[in-house]
Amino acid sequence: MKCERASSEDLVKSLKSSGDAVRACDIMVERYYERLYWHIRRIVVLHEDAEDVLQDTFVAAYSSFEKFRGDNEGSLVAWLYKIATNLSIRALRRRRTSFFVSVDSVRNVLRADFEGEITPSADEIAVKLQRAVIGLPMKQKLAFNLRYYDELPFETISQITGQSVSTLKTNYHYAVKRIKEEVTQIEL
Amino acid sequence: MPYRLPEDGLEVTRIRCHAAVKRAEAECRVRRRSYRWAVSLATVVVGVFVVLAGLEYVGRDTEFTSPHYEKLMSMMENAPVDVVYDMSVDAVEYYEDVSML
Repeated sequence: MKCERASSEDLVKSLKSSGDAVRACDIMVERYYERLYWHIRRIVVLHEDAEDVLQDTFVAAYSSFEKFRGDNEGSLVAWLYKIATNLSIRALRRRRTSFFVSVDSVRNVLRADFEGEITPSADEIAVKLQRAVIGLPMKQKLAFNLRYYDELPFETISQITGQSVSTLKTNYHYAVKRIKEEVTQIEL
Repeated sequence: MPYRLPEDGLEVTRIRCHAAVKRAEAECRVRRRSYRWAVSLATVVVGVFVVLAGLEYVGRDTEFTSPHYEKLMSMMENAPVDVVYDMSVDAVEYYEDVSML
């Protein structure tokens, strides 16, 4: 596809020149929709919610591109992930039972949703891993998902979550520890 | 990933994302056009107001509040008749020639 051949710098440049914003946004959708979809899906669990959040992510990126200060693909990816993450958390907040409880309070709801979202052909280990990941607190979950599944460097994750690299490493370490414990517990 | 996906995979999701961006672009264009109309309307209203205020200012009765004017008026009121007459003659030419009457 023609748009996939455009280099990262060209993409950022064409996104920044207002005349090409729509075309550039189309390229952005083509390039990142799948990655972002899975990132969002791992947070909100339901396909319909993930689809809504993904659309909102691209609309928000289109509408506020003038606020984007980066000039390379790394910063563009971090910016898109940041929007997607914030909108996913906002979607989860809407599912809370009370305004005063943390977003982590929807973990049980997400666990129940996940049981209905498992594909019959799913690998058993992958299912166990996802169950354990869904049970993590949001900060640990984000650190784990972005590092393990999206394979982003901690510096980029730091830009996305607004946490320091050392905090992220700690969160990731605890996440891995908890996942190991939970998977082992299930197996026993 | 162990998540269930619709039959078409993510194709519909991709198409919906493109449509959402197009929709946002169209809305943005409409909003921009409305903004331009609002600015034009506001400019016209302000312009009309300025013109009306200007006309009102030009058309109103002139009031002289200068102290020199007051002084001049009192001098004129107290001046002897012949002086006033001379000044009037300077200002308007009266034809007092007998042949003109």
